[in-house]
Amino acid sequence: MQSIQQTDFDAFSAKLACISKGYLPTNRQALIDPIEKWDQFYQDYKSLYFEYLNTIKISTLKGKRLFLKITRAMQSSQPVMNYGTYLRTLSIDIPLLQYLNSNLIHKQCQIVNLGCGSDLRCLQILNNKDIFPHVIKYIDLDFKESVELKQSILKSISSSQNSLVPIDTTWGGRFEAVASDLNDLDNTLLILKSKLDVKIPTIFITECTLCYIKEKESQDLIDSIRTVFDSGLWISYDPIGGANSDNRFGIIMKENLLMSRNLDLPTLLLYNSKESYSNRWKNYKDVKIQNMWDFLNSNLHPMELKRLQSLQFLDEFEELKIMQNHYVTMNARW
Amino acid sequence: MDMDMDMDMDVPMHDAMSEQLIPTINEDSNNSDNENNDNTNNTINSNGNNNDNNNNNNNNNNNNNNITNNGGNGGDNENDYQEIDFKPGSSGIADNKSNKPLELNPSNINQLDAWIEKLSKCEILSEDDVSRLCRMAVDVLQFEDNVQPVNVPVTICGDIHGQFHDLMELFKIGGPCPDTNYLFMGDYVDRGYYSVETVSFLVAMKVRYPHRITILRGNHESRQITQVYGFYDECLRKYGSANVWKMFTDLFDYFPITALVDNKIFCLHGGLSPMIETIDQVRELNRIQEVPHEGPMCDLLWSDPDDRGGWGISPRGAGFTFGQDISEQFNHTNDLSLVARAHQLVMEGYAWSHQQNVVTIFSAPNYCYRCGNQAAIMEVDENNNRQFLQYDPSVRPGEPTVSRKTPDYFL
Repeated sequence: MQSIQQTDFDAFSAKLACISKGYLPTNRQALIDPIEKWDQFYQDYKSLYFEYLNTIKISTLKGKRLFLKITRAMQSSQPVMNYGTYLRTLSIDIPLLQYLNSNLIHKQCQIVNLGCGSDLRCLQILNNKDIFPHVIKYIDLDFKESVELKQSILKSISSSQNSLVPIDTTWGGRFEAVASDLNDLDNTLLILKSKLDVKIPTIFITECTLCYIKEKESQDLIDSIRTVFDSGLWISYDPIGGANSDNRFGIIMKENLLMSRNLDLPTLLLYNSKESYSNRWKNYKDVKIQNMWDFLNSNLHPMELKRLQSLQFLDEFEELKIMQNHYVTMNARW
Repeated sequence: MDMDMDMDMDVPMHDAMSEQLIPTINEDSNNSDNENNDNTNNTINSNGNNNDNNNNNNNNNNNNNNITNNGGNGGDNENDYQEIDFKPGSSGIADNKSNKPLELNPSNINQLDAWIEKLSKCEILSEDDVSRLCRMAVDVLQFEDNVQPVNVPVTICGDIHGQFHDLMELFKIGGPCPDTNYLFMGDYVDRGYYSVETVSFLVAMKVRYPHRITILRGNHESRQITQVYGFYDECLRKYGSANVWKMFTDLFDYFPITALVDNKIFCLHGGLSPMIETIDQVRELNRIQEVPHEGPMCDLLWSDPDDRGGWGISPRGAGFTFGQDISEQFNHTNDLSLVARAHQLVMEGYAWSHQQNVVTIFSAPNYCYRCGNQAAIMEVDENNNRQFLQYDPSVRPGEPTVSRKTPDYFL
């Protein structure tokens, strides 16, 4: 469990590296099909993330150490990783905003980030109430320790009289960070049902979350959400091991992470292709899945690709391709 | 276990300090001093810069401040590195160049053999010894040609990228040097964890056996690229200053940029240049300089073959892509049978292109400890027969697994 929690700091420092090098935020013209509300969604992005980082240092006992770890990892991150983090972020934000825009006028909706870690999409949504007035509830769910860390950091930011987090860290009851182990499905569903209205369309985000959950548990989670909630959108991002002759990446990834960090990816080699990964949402509709290499080539405007190339010297496209071929973005409705 | 260690165990992030094969706990307790001297009290602003960066130039642990200063403007690199006085030649290794090639004598042979023995155990040389080695190497490499002639038999190798143990595996597969002649086509440093050991070893072998081993320059043998891709950071970490990095990057300027095997196989790191039609034009270049951003020398180290004909814009942002028509014409004009190059990761370790006018050789197995590719080398015998030898990563028995650095993934 602890080794899974630590991956949050990998993701967080990767995100910060991506921001400090100028990959993120990007404006709506970056996309071949520009999306409404994009620029507003990304306003204050940089200051949000850096404020959060600086507050980590002062807000907890372990903060100083953690701060150093994150800044070091951030400074040594390489272009191939920054590209990937950028793509990962966009692959979630695009369907998220598309869905929010499509539900803008008539419907209320809710957002749940399962295994949220230090992700700050909640702030991007909650701080823009005039743009996303219909998001009546945002739930960040993770392990207890992760949630407590997040709550204490948000409190610290709020007490520094900073406009990034209001004094009321629930945003008038719209936000809640809740602790639950996703392996404990009963408890998770109980919490979700008590905090959310199951009749209101709900967006579920699993960003490198399902990959840490066992086969049965993750399938049960996927099936239950479909049953409990009347309608919604599921957005997921995960690594896939690679099928047949393409499986070496996954085998090595699984071994590397297990050996050096005791981190297990129990389904990496099982859901090893786009097909096997997305087949889990068999009771959903409009299931779309893309590997991240195809995502790169089908969503970004040529000018944006040029901009990315100007940020850092990406020396190696083959490596980027191999890595991005082994990550997928999936979204499904019901 | 004290509190500090406990915290560190909680946060097994793969930062720069945890790369080496030292048990994690020792390493972290050793480093805690450094961390206290580090920029703990700085605040990071939204540009990702340390606020008091300018006061930190004498702090060795504040690595790569020139890079983090970048703040998203890729074009600033050049200014940054001038700012910290990383001027070519500042290491002084080429201040007293000889006017004739280095002569080996019992004394310097002993010295070199001792260095090679140390390096082959993956131990670094002292800074003073690196300085001595680089001075000797200048007096070998400055006399080599831009198009260094190489005889058969020879074994031709591609990118190594600091994967020292895999380089040792390569010598097991291909046969020990100097019994086997070797030609390396660049990219010894960056990405892997042992760039210092790798490049020190190859340079020492070059000085010791100058006619048995040829080491060309790759696009990573450059001041700018090594600041982004790891060699600079590794030198800081292993030596506590940028001096060794300065020496090696000054030495890189002297590496030959191409080789010609038996007048038939043209070997280089990247590929062809629209400004180069004949091999004689390569001979006319002034190669003793940092790899330029454009022009023929840049292209030779950066270009890639492509399925599309003619010249194309390279997605790498330097060099060009060239089609089969270009390779055929070049081989015909120069009476060549083949262009052998490295530079691109290929899953089988080698790949033919342009109907066997071009071959790509890549000699770093499981590149970056993550890509899962095989590596290969190409043996060319006395009769110009070619044979590829493929190999997988070396097994490192007894390596403490807890302390092995994890390659980066999106987690």
